[in-house]
Amino acid sequence: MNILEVKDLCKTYIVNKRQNNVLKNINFAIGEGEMVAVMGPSGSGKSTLLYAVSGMDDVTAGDVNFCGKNIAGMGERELADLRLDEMGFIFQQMYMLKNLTILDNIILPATQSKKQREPRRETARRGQDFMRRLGIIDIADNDINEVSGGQLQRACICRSMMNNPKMIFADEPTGALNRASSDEVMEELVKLNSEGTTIMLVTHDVKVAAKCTRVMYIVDGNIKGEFDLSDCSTQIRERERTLNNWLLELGW
Amino acid sequence: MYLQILKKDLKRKRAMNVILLVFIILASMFMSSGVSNIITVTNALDSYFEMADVPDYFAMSENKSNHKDICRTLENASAIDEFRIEEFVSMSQSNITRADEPLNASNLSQKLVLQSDRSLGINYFLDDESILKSVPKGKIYAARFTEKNMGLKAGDKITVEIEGVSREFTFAGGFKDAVLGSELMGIKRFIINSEDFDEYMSNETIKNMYGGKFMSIHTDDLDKTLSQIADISDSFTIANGTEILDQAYIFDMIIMGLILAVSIILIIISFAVLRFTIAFTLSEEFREIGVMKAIGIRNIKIRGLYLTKYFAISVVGAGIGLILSYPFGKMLINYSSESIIIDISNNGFVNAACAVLVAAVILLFCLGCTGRVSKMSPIDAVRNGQTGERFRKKSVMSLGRSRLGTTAFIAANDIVSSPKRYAVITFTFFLCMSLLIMLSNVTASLKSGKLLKYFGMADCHAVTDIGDEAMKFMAEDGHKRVEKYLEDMEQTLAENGMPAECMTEYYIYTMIRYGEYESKTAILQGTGTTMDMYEYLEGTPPQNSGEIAVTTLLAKKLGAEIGDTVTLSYPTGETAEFIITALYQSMVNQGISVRVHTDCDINYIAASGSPGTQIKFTDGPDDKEVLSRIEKIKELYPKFSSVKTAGETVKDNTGVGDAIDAVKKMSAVLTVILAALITVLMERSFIAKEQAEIALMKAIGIRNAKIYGQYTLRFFIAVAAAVLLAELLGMPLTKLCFDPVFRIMGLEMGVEYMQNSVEIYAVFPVIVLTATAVSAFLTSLYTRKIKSSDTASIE
Repeated sequence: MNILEVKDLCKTYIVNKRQNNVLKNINFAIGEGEMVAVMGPSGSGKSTLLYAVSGMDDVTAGDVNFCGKNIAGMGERELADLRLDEMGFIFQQMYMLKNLTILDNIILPATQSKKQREPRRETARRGQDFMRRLGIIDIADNDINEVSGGQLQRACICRSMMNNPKMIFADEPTGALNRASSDEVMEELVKLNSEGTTIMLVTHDVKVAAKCTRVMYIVDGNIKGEFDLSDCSTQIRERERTLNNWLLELGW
Repeated sequence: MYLQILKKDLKRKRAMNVILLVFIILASMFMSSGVSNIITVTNALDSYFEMADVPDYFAMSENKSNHKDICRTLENASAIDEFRIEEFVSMSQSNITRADEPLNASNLSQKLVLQSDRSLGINYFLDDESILKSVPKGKIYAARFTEKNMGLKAGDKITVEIEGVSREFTFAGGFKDAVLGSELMGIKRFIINSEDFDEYMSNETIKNMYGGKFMSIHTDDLDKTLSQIADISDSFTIANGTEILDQAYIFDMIIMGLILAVSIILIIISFAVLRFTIAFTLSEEFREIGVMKAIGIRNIKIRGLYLTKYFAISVVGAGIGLILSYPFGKMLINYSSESIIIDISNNGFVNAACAVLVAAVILLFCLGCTGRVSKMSPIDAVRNGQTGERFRKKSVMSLGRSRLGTTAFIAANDIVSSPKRYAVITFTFFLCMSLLIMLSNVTASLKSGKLLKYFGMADCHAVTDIGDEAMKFMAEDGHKRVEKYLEDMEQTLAENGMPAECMTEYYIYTMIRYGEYESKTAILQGTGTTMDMYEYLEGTPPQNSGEIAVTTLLAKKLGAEIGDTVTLSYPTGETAEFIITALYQSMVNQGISVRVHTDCDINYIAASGSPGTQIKFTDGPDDKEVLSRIEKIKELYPKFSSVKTAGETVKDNTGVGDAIDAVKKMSAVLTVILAALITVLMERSFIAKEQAEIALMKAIGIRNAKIYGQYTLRFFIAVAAAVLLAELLGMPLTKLCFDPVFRIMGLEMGVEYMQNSVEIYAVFPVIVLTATAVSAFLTSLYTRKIKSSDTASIE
């Protein structure tokens, strides 16, 4: 069953009276439990696509069905509720509110959600559970400037999971991390996916994309090709090599 | 390249640059108008006295108590450089009618005199600020105060009838009188043509019983002059040097002091806010400064770039502020005294200098802030900049453990995490709110009957001006006549269902001596009162006619204490000794007075006046009943010039309650405007800096309404703290700021201030908090423009 269906999606910006078609008639679907990577050269429209299908940015034309509901026509308030309760977000810059501790940042979405009514203490306990699972419980009371980038990105993963979202959208989640931290973060995302969470992520990194079940390659606002990795070898090096070959064929 | 970078910067950071520009305009406007007003106000009285040619010594003598040749004594005094004598005729309000109706002035404590335009003692200023040189026959001019109180309008037909001599005049306008113009002087003049005046003076009764002379003496050696005219000075009913005249304008100076306080507060606010804004906007630049340092641009060049930018903005801002400072300063000064001519024409240079100073201070702030950056490594500069990173723990609250709602928590947490940022807001609003509370306290006090005691009167419900009757008691057996009059009045009131005690006070100006020290003083004697009805600071009330109470100021002046014996010399030439038994404070005669026992036998021939007849109802009526009885008394005694409550009497005696009220209202409006401006500009700058966080909150699904709530609440909490602080410190601050003013007026121990609770605890907090909340909310709507997808594009 598809959790996300995108039909004839177009996104146009007008800059200095010039029309810039960033996304052109995009069509794709993501099934429940999938982990899909979007790749492409800089300026190809990867992030724009992610923000458009997650309801963060409006679309110029087309339909975006999330769990059967077309979010293209939704109002600001409905979209906010949808993002809060049904979606999780991870950004490259590891944005957090700087006046809150790591734990408070993590539990913030849960305190706003009406989906799970629970005492604040219970929310904090769940936040701590996530942190424990991701190995960052010892930084719960730290400020955001006191921890490493890898720890911070894992904290962002915890935050994205607080409301048990149906799908996580990640915009280059390892883009600002070193290799070791990047591996740790991806390990957590793969684990979440194996537990049933659908993930759509944007990346430049073949090593990251190789851990996904499917890869979409986008160039100039068009999906140039899709590559299914679910049947590939479980050996990560083998998957990377296969993916690399496919990307080279597409002009990567 | 500089110009290129600057042009780009001004475009790219338009919001922050515009905010900075607006704050510079405000600072320049407040600073220029404030300093200019301070200079104007502090010199106002000196400049006014100079323009009016005020004498070094001014005295008044009444013909009924003086039979010596004043003119000859003054001519023979070698220390006198010049003197002028103005003849006058004393009268009361009932002597003046307009269309056969008596003119009711609201202030009953003023003695009225009619004088001629012959040999004018000082320069009297007309409405157009020209000098009154002469009065055409059949015309009459009145002091500005009288004109206002009697509601006189140019062209009114006025009849002045004294002892059967009656003439009709056309009212020509009001004038400003530098010597007797202030309410505290208690005498107000009418000036007519000398030929008209001579018609009154040709009547012997008028000349001997109501006539008198004002003396304006110019001298370089006042002490020598006083010793040379000692022979006639005992009979002076009023005698003042310029320092006393200064004090007589103290209530007018209160208003000017308030304008001064408002100006100073505006200057402090503008600099506090400006300092914050510059530091805040420069922190925006840290990252770019870091990048420039990293690529090898030298510190001096980097600082030069920012100094050029801030110089350009400050020059434009200071220029606009300078232009706006003229109308704004004039608006403020317009609230000051009506009885003084204020020259504001020569302060253009001051305004310009202040605007230049503001621009210079901005560059200094900028130099300081960029100087800090110079000491940092490129990485420090980058990390201290837009990334928002910091190197010490800030979070002190925990969302997990807090019982607050999330929006309230984030708002409160933001404040405790960045206390400096919000302290500026709290401090600014605390100043505004404190000013309002102080003004409210002073206004309430100057309209409260409880202050009656400071005017030498016992507590009462109503005060009446008995008009001509009061003059009739200024005779040898006056005291006995007053007693009889009060008894009759009590009887009449009782017969009309208003049981009451009636009492009055009479003032006599004379000399008091203790050992080698002597002083001019006012003697206060009550009739119908008992000595324990007055308030004393120390000692016991005088028990018999040989005992006396003196003011603390007079005791200090004489070096006398309780138990000492002092000697009073009456204007009639007699002397009497008294033992001091108590000390008190009063504003009568600027705090220099004595109170003698009610039984003391004093010749009232030299009495200079009475503040009115007081009525204290003995059956404890409520305020509403008192007002209705006042109306009844007016019907019973139609000849009374006025009957008023104790509160109205205090208000009229000080005469500045309404003016302070006007300054208070102006300050309230100014506070609302400031609250709105500061909130809008500061919040807008916070939003500009917190775009990434706002976008993040939207991305994770926090609704717009909650973000509006958070941004509004932060300001509301900071301002609520300011309001609370001002409420707590309002009364101590009022005492601190206004006790010195009342001390000058003779109240050494300060005043028992009243509070208008509705204003202080409801009206002001509500208007300040509402202005803040509405401005903060409207500004927070700007966050709507920040989209969740901006997380991708914000650096």
